[in-house]
Amino acid sequence: MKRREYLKWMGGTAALGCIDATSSISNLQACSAPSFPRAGSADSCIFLWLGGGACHIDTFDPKRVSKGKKDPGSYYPAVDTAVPGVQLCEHLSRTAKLLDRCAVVRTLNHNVVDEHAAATNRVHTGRPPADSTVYPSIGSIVSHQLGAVGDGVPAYVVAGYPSASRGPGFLGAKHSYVYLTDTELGPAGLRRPTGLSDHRFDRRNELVSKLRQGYSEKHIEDERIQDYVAASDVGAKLAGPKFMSVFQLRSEPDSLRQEYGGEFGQRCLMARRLVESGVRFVEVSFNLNFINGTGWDTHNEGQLQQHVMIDQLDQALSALIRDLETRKRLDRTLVVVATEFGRPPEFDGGGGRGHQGKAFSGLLAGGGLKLGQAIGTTDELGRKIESRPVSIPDFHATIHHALGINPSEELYDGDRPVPITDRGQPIAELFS
Amino acid sequence: MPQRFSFFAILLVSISHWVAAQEPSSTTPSAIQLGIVASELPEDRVVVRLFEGLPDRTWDFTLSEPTLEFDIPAMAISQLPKKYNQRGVIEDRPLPVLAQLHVKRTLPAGKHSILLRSKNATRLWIDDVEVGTQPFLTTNGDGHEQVPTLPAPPSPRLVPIAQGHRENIFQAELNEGVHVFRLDAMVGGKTIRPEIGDLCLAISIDNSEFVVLTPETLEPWVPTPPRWKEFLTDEAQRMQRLNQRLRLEASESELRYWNQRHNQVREFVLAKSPEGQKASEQTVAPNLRIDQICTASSGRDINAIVETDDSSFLRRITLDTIGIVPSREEVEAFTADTSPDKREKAIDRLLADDRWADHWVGYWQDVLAENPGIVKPEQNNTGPFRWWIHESFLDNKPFDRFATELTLMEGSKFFGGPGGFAMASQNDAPMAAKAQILTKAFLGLEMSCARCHDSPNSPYKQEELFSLAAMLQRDTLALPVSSTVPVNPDGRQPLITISLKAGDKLAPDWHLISFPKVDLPESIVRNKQDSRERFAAIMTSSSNQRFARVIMNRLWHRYMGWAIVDPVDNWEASETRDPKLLDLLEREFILSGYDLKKAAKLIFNSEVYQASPLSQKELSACLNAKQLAYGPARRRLTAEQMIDSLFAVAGKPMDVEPMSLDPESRRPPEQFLHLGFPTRAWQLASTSTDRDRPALMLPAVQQVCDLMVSLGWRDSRPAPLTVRDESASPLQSLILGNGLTATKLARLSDDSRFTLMARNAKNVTSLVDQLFLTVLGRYPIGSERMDFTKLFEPGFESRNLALNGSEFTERSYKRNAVSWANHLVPEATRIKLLLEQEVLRGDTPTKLLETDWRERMEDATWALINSPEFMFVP
Repeated sequence: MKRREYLKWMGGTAALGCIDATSSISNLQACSAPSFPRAGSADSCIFLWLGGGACHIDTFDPKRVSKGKKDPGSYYPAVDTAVPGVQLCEHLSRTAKLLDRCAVVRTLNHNVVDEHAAATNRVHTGRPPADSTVYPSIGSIVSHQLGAVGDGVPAYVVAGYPSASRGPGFLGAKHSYVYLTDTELGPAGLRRPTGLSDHRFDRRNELVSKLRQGYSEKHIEDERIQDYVAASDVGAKLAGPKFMSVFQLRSEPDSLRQEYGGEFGQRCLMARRLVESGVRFVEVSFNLNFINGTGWDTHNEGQLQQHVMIDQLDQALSALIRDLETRKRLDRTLVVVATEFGRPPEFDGGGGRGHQGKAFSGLLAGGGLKLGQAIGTTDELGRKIESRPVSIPDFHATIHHALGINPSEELYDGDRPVPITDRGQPIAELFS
Repeated sequence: MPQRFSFFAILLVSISHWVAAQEPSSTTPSAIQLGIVASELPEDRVVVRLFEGLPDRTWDFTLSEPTLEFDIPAMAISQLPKKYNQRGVIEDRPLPVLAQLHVKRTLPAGKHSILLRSKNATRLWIDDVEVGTQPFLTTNGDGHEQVPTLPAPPSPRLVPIAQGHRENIFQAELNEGVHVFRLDAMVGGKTIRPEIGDLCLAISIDNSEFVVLTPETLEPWVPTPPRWKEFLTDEAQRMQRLNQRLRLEASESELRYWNQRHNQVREFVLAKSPEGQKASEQTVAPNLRIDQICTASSGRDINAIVETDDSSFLRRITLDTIGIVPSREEVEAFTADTSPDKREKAIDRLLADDRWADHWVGYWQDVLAENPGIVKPEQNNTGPFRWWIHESFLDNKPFDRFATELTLMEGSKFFGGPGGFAMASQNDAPMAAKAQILTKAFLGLEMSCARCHDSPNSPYKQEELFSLAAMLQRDTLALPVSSTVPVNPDGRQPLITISLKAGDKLAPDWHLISFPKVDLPESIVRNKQDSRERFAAIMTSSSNQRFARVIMNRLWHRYMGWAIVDPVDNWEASETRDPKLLDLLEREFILSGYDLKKAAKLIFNSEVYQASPLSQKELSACLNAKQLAYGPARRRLTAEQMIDSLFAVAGKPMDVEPMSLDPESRRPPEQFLHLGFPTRAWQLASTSTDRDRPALMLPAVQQVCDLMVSLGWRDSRPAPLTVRDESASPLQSLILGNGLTATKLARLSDDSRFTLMARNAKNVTSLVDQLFLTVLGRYPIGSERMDFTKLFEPGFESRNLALNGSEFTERSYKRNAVSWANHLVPEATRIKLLLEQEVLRGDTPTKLLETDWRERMEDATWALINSPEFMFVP
């Protein structure tokens, strides 16, 4: 990266994860070509990840309630929603009231069943892994295509642990994410070291800037050194109060914070603040395994406290939708709920459930889509798809389309062209 | 062998610290053959015997001859010597292995306590009487086990046991006199990995402190945390030497083959007068020829080369050889030395340093796509053949032999041999991936397109690649569907040419149309029937006029920052600058018997290498005109150099978690690997599990990896890469400044070198000098000296606080009870979240320095480490 690009970075459109401003401009132009009209009004995306494989028939695709361990079926009764004829599990009652702002996708499917990592990878990259390349995650693709919305912020932030599936693959490290594991502290690397006082922080910077200046002046002709020094300056601004204040959730009214609920809710609130600051794509991981031991991977006893997690999801998701709406950002923000697979209606020996990839659910909200509908139907116990299957590439194509990215645009792995999705078609019913 | 009771020992009581239910030993002692008798035991060492391939999970067996006998200095061991095949590459011992440790020692009469620590099953014998036993490890299930409570040590001074270990105390009443202790320890099993853990036998005589049992002539020692750490470091060095001896012994016939082969090719090269070289030039030393060729290339004379100053030279050569910056002592000695050949001497000293091997591993991990996953294999995971790479460079293995061993893929798959290279998990044609990696690494061929179709940008057809793959497969190979391009009958015509279809069978054959035909001398291929061996021979043969040149170009690029043939791994699409330099290097490399150190020495001794870095403008002017440049390019430290230098400068061990999610060693290697306890950057690996479970995090490892990733290191390497993305990014200085350097490296804790430096400094001037020499390898200039002096002066005289006798504070992330076996239990998440907080808080500051003064010293240290000067090779 060249020095002048940093200058552009600070004043212009590109961002930390995605500094290649020129590509985003040309792609926006490509997207507005008549052959592929820009459909959604979203400019940013909040991607909520239910790692472990959330059970669709216990959440977004409720079925006949099971009478006991030997009787396959939903674990909880269903409730009506704001959309006539569409029900959700009773622990999603808050979301149910807002379902006219959402579209439930009930026929997601793929053929990876047994391995969490492989299925997670499939849903993040939209492709089976290749023998000869590494595909980028959807977050990396979006940030590669569009850069950050605002100045001086990263394009792609992950609230969760670093993982291969979330990575940039062949797009390269500059299209990767910054991550954080603690909402209050902010991203790894950007947050100030624990317990370092202002006085010491300033003293350190004063010392280092003198050393930096001396070294830089001594090597004024040396591009690599000049680039590094320029990048450090950009970094210092990034870690400065403007962006880091995004993580000060305390500045939000208490009532709003309570509305969002527990740790996952607070992450969703932070996600809203991030997209407001100009971050393009935020992935929020629901990894609160301590609630039931297994997280969404509800084998055996994991089933028992599943409703607590569903309730937290419900509280956070409904608060996020309402909050975005109040702030008139819902049409500009696509909220996605995704997971690596669903779970079968039968129960295992311990009263929990195994894995099921051939039919499971996701949810989309906001983003200027045609909402208030359920896409696709599964059979009476949610084992198989009955109508309107939505493949993972289709699901990705829908997200890209809503953000104004052409899903068949080609990316380049060296010389090799790779379309953004593997022949994915946006869900037409969501775009009018 | 008859049973022998030299003295009478009584088993009094057995206290179990950890194990709730002990499996009773199922057999009588007579089923076990007895170990070495007292009269045959030496007085100055512990004798260890290894027996392999015993029945699993039982003591019921008859022993035959041991497969290995070796000595250690105490009844403590944490790693077994490796086993080597006849080529000298790591191979697996059939599991389980029994390690029998024997020692004799004179003890006073009395009731003594004996402390036994182990991971897997053990039996302890004193004078042939069984005194105690520990049960077999339970192999593990599902992640829902209770998190075990790690016991406090029986005495507060002792190092506590690590996760996955058991500790028992046995009481024994002994007569006065010589006693023989024998410890039988089972290592690994049919479904568990062979990690011995911290096996240790200590004794407390008449209620005194526990000491590790040693032979008669060696002083017993208290296993305190620092002493145990010292033991591990010392053991690692001993084992490195022993392993080297073992593999050289195992591979004597291999050595003869390679010597013979190198003699042949040497004669061949000598018989051929070097092309284009005048007779007079041949008498010029090769390092001087480098200078002549490089300057002549751009029409300059030799004076165009500007020699760099001594401290810059030392920093550069130290980074280029051993991968870390020089120590303060080395800088002081070097700059004070007035002898004219001191640079040459420094080069020789550094080339002889074992850390030469550490510095090479990261490079080949990238180029050869070494990609071990610590949990359940994902795409293109390989075995951890990093250990074989490391050993190859420790031995300075001839490079054609290195490439051949890799191609043959023999030896251990999961524990470090080149057998691990054969693996490419979830890949439908692993050998196609390997053919691609090998030809790219050693011949500069870019065949990745040919995996799925004929290459549009290089001359390679899919058929050529799969014929090579079949050679490595040693069989015909059917083209898998996943290696084809789906053709949509209604869609657009593909831009690429497809000449094969799924299921087509390819026979083993080397017929690369664009690659020179190679005639192999008869004697080179030992087994003519083996197509893998033929592959290796064609690839490494001097008559292909490519192999040696590719390696020399790689070496030149690594040390100079620019390549003679660029890009280094794609010669078909490359630009070649003046070929005379490669001619010279190739010839010298072959004459040296493919000795990489000798080739490096040649480059290091050239003035071109020792010159100041050229500016981008000067460099581009030469390179764009297809000329050679007359100095190095500016290089940034690699991620590995950065990490290793940072720890070296601070004088701190890396002390991260063990590189495993099954540190208890209860799972098979097909699912979980244990990559050891990292001490150098190349030993790290990705922590990604794609499972989003907080209990699976390794926070201390992650902190190091975050910095490395920001500097271009790949935590997973599913495909080969030579030139990393080393562009500057805003995150680099942030992660460096806010992460590891803030929490650990610039923190003046009890174990920091800076703490010692601060305490011992005679005056402020000397402290400032020492600090600059340690971190930046040079003396401060005027304004710097002023700034730092001003910072250190207030309170300097009263900075040292009195020692209050408190024990050295010890923090170790290794000691936490979470493993795969229990990671789904809420307690496991709680422990890991606390640990993460602890890592973020960082090392505990020393109490030996006054707080305000210490903080100033820390801030100064932090600033020097974070200065861009630290990031670049001078």
